[in-house]
Amino acid sequence: MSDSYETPAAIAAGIRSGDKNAETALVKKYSRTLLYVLEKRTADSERAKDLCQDTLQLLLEKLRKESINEPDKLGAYIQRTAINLFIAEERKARRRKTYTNSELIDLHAAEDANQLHDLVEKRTQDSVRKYISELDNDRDRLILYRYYVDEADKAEVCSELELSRRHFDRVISRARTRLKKLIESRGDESVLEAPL
Amino acid sequence: MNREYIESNDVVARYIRNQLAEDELNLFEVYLLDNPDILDEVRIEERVHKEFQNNRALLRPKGDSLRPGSRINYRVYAMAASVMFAALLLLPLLNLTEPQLQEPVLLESFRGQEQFVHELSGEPIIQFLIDAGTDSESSFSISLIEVSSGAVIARANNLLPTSESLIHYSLEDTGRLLGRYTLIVLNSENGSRRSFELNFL
Repeated sequence: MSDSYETPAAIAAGIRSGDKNAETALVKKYSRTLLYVLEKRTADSERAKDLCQDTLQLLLEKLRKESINEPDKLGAYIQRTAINLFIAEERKARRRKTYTNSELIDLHAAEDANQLHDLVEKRTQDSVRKYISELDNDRDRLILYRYYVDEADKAEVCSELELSRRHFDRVISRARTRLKKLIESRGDESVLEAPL
Repeated sequence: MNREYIESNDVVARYIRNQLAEDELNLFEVYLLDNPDILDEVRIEERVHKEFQNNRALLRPKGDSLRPGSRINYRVYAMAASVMFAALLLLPLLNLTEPQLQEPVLLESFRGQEQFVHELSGEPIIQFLIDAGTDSESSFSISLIEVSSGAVIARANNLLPTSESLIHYSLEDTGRLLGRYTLIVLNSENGSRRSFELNFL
């Protein structure tokens, strides 16, 4: 990536001027995050990939042809484009919805695709279980339980357990750091890329 | 949306739990796109969330009194911890010649479950309960002195024992205290004094 394409405005201007490096810079800067955002919205990694591709394609075509208002806000422009595509697709899907058992077919296909991933995951999960079993402070367990399992918010947990926010942050940060190490220790960085 | 807003409003956790309102969700997505370095942080939080969810049975607190949703009286734990801590403090005091204050300093930490001095770091408030050895009208003054600099960190005068002969003294904002401190308790009537060494590690 060229050093000159560090800002959104520079990327937009570069694409407008026909520089292919600017297009590469755009994809490198935004595609990973955009895919994640769309996976979260759609809960479907294949659909998210398609939407991500369509969004970037639309955007490139537009930027090649014309300038956009406020090029510094390229992130906001990408987000709006992606969400509009997502909403349009949702509407279309609702209109043509049939009652075939396609969801079941998709489910089986997804199961096949996930088998390898599941095998690789097992090792990490064993380590995580071991870590959780070894937590010997009941109050720390309760903090983690209320926050992660019951999904109580931070203020609620602090108030309920009469905790300082600093103590709460310390417990959460310790658990987060430990689990991160366990996840990373399997030597497979793709774990952070894997769909959840 | 900015980093400060995200941290103070627990936005990452609420995003993962799908608890953000649509406006907030849109703003956070834009923030993510503009700051792709944050993505790894979000993914890790999501993984941690997922792992704890998947292992909820293992994570469930073991003690009966610690069932989620139950209210816990941490003062009970605090006092138990205080007694243990007091035992630690008593050891170097055995050869003191002034008997006016015969009982240990009891530290009550609002964190509640800690059993060791070094675990008291970062506490917002620590209460000192000091047995005055008398329920007379004597008043006491207390000073907390930083050993390395000799600076007086906190001082309180005219403290009177309660009917249980205890002097009650709260020290706030202790999170900033690090290192060795001496707590000096002075009987204002007869001038006798006791000192206690405290370590905030």
